[in-house]
Amino acid sequence: MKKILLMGNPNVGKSVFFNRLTGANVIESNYPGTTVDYAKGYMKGDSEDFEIIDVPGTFSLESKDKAEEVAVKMLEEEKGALVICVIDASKIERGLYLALEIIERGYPVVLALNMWDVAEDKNIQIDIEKLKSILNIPVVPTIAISGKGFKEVVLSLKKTASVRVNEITERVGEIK
Amino acid sequence: MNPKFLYELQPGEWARIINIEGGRGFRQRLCLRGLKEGDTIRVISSIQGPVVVEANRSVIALGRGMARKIRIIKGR
Repeated sequence: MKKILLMGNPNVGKSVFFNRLTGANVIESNYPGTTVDYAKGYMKGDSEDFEIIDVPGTFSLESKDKAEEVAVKMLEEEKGALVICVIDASKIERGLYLALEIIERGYPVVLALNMWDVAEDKNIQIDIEKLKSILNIPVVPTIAISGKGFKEVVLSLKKTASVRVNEITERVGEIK
Repeated sequence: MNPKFLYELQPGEWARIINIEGGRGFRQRLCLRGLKEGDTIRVISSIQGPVVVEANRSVIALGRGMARKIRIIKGR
């Protein structure tokens, strides 16, 4: 069974994401650091089943506290796992740092821009097509609490592959 | 308008960060939480306990030790 890790900054909605995908009922709340340990669940895809792991939120892969240590250890243990990197669309620049770090380690990543409705409220515009072409990974806007975009996330799990970071930096250079 | 440190501000005051006195790790940690040099911030709470500031549309709580290392000038 393929494993999927849910990673992202603290307080972006990874646990809500997890509950949506698996139908589980882990604690979710509106402040950072709710998940300090991991939770496992299962999801049926259209052709295969997945094991999903809800990882504590982390800002970077250089762990600075216990919860982050758990997150980094999970990532290192699960070689060959897929990663859904959940990002707060209204604070996208912070999440992309972690996303790039995960890509750099060679994991296939699906980027979920969560809290899309909040970003829209704050009048933040994100060019998804451009982000897709720069990173060369699937990028999906989602709203975890209402369930918008989840179908695309699950469908794009098949399409993702690991990307080399120097290719991304080359593409960023071309834009300038 | 002498440069001051973040913990010396009162709630409601605005300021701009001019220097973060710390190593690479400390700067990175603040940057990933949305605080970097040049940012305009608003203090929410600073009387006692952690110093809470608003910067770049997000709210960040800092320990007083951290706030002691951040040099600011008052005003927007």
